[in-house]
Amino acid sequence: MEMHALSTGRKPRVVTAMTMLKQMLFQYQGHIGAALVLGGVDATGPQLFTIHPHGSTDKLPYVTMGSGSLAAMAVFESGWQPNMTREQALELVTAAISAGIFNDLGSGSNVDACVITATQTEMLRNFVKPNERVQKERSYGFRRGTTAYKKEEIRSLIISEDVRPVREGEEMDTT
Amino acid sequence: MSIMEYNGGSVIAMVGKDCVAIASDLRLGVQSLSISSNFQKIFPVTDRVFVGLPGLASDVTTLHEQFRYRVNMYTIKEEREIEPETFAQLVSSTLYERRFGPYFIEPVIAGMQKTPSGSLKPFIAATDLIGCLNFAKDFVVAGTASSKLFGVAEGLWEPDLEAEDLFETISQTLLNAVDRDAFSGWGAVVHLMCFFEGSTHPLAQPRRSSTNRIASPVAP
Amino acid sequence: MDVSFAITGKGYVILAADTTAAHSIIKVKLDEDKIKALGPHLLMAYSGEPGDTVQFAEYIERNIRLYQIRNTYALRPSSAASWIRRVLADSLRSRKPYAVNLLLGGYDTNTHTPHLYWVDYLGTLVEVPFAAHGYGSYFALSLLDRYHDPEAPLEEGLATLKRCIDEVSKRLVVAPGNYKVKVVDKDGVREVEL
Repeated sequence: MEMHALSTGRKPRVVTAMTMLKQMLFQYQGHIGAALVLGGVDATGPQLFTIHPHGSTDKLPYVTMGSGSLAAMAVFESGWQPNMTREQALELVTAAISAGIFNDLGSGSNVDACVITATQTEMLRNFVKPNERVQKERSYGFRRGTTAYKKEEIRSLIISEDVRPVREGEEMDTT
Repeated sequence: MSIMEYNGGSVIAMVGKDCVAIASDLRLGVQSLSISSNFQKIFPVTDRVFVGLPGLASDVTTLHEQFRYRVNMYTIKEEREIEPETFAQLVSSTLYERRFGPYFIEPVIAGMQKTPSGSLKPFIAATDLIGCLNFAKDFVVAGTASSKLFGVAEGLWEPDLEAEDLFETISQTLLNAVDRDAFSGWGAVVHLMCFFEGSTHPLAQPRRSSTNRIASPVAP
Repeated sequence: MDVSFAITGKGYVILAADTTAAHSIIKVKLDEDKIKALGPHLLMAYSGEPGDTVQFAEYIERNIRLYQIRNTYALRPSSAASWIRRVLADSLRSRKPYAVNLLLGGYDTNTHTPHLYWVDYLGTLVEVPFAAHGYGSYFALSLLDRYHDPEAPLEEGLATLKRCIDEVSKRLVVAPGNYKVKVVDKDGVREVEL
């Protein structure tokens, strides 16, 4: 994309990224098992695409991908409306991903989100953590000396050096 | 018949407080027939890095030779030894080179990584057979007993284990997991790397260093 | 259907391989030598796909000989094993892999130690105190677990090997009739009669 931007002398468009990705995936005939959701804002406005492993694409106002896509799409279908604010949209995608986390067996743990505007991209890593681990109730550690062993080999990598200057004041002049 | 289970074998690596451990079984078999009880699966890369290569035995040797060659080239070109994280990336790219005809190995990497302050911190990582890296903070497992290793490690491991306790934890995790796996076992080996802030040697200046401890545990 | 065994002892390695050459269910030859001397102190027993075996064994034999001519000394057993393994491993991922299993027995004249390597067609290489290939392995390995002694003199080693052969003759339905037995030690390679 950077090379393309440099050679055309323009800011790259989302469709360009989408086209490059689909052409590559099509070339590999599905052997690259990547299913992508591509979003961005360019000169033509905000864009959303999905790209399937074989190279087919969709351009839609709201999209989902992956094993939790059905659960997430159900949330979108009921909650999406045009021209949502940043907060509304962030809340909706979080709800959609959470639906996947809790209802799809292949999805789990935390929610990552990413907000793209015309001026900047904000990566919200672990935006919501609904599955924090709690402290273990009990320690099952073994007592020292439990494991018997036949052979032990200890290699010390401690470097000890003893610098003893001889003939002080006769160092080479290196100025 | 799965290629990943043809020869059998398992590897595990764990993080402790200023220490790291990597352990494996020693079996080599052909399906259910055991051929050797002394087949090495963990190899030293540098003084501070070890790599475990469970999977198809032929590829264990081939990859070990391949990594030795690439690490030697790195050492010559860079005039320094490779860091654990850099080595993990080397493992990943070496495996992805064979994306559509992979080596049947799931490597585990353990080492002590240099920090900007000059001290050493434990590092572990594992990849799948095409080089997808997993940088875990607690432990990583691989091989035919991996499902059992996950269960036992999940129960025994806790944060900030001292070197001695880490040794017991990793040894018991491995030994008890491979006992429930028909394709792993027949002896085990543990490698432990520790970091001391200043040594006790009377002549030496207090300085940072580490120790590799190798032990071959037997079932109690 | 090939059967081959090998055991190490005090300063020697014994290799044994059956002498039958079969096409399908027909025995076509009863005195085929399936153990090649690759050097003054190196033996190789080969088994597997008919055709591949001899082609492969001769390729290895001549390249090991070439090394010896070029360098005036023979490869040590460990180095020879490493190279042979590499040939098989590379072959495995080629268009037509060699389907050959090997037992490599050698005496290292530098360290004065016997070495035995178990090698299969996948390029698996492992050093072992005793080894077997084929259906015989299912009988021999458990016997050798019980009776093998790394410090045994040659006579005792040959007696242990005889146990293996006798057990296979007794229990295996498709047991071969004859074996060729070769020994490698400090004096080089030689054939022995059981």
